[in-house]
Amino acid sequence: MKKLIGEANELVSQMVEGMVHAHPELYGRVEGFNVICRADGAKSGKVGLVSGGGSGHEPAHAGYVGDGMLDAAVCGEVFTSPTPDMVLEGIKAADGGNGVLLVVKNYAGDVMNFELAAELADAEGIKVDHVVVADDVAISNKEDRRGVAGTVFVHKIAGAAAASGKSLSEVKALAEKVATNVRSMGMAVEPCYMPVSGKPGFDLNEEEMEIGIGIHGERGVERKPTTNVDAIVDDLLDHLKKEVSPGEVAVMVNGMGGTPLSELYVTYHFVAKKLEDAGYTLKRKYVGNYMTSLEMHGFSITLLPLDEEMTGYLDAPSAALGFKL
Amino acid sequence: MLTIDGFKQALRHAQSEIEANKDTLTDLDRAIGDGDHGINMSRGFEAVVAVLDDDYASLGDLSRKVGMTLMSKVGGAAGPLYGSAFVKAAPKFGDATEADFKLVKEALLEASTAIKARGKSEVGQKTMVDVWEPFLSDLSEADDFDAKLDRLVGETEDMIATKGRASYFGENSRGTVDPGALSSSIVLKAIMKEVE
Repeated sequence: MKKLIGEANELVSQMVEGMVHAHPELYGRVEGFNVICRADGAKSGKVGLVSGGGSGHEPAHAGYVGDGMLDAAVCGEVFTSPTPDMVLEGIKAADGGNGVLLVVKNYAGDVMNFELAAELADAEGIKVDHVVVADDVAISNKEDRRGVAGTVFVHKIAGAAAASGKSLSEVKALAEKVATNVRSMGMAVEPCYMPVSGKPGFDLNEEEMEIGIGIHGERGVERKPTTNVDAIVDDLLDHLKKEVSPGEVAVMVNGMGGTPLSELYVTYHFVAKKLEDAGYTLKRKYVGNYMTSLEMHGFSITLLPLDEEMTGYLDAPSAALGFKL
Repeated sequence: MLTIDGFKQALRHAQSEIEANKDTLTDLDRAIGDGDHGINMSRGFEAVVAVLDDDYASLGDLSRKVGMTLMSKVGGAAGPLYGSAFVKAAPKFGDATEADFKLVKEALLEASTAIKARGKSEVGQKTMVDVWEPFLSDLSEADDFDAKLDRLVGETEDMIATKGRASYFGENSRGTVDPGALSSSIVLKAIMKEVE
């Protein structure tokens, strides 16, 4: 697999450097760390919002740093959660004196490293709490569910709530509400290739696809013969509809990084038609690359049941590059 | 007896073995994880070797430094697990500059407990715990450490993962050795070799 990278070990650092240089009005870098913070620093009195994880999910997570969303994004190695000292730097960069909320995706490494960082921050006198997102219905056991594209809705809604001046406990409660209700499921027809090893995340022949993938290049929970997108959408929606009742929802068709926009809109076309036929009202719609897996060719569908409050926060202004309204 | 120099030698040996098995660890992780275990462990132990030239007053000091280095360099799940292991073993080594078999075993038991607590995992879930805990239980000086470790690593092949990323694959996780179990056996073999 050919990659447009320099020294593979320097990939994340050079990516961070590039992002900060390209968008100096938006981004700053915590010196010596792969942590992107707001150019204007932590906002006094506002609850800080920090997320992060492995790199390779762009525009997540740094793409969600900006007014109305995150205050800092911690960029681990590709598909590897960041270390506790890095997360601590992110917490410090986001702390405006009113506490910091960490948005963590439910992967063992992310949870452990963010928990350790929270302990370190606590020891330094920073009020910190966290919410774990586990929206992936591909995993039947709810405790083990991965955090995937639904995390972006948590960033957006919690970010808008924090920007509106809510307290740490209020922002956390709202983030929990989104995390509890949001559901996603993904698939891939082609794997991604790890930059360091140059190897694909899994081997897949021309006639096969993976259903129920995560966002770290790993295999899905089921391998099936490839069918047309119409039938694939049916398959994913069957799982999602079991857990999200008809009503007003936000829907996100998220590209995994290697999916042309044309195909994402074709996918969305089927998603919208099928959901509306099933009695859902698509109150807000998002189509694009929000939480990717390098150049993986596939997509995920996310459903979030909406109420007035959540809709208001979804619609609130965001300066983040990855979520401009 | 495990001396400070012996402990350093063990860590250097672990690093070279991890380097030799880097691709194997990564391939196992590709099969039932996300394919970066070899890369992460290699990055962590390279950083560990870089701090071994410093002077350490005790085995506890060295163990703590190794743990903090792993925690801040490895990332993923392996970072906090291996990091906690060496950090929590440190107070058990304490100010000792050499440790007999009994003390090494006690320190490793602390490490094993730390891994279980941090990972919230138990024996039988196809993780590194399946090497650490059964290896240490009933461990005696007369045991063939390498053989016992090889057997425990082999036993993870038939297990169905119920913890960590491999658990997403359910029944499909059977048939692949757990990469964390293999890296654990490499680290433990290297330490036990210096105790003999």
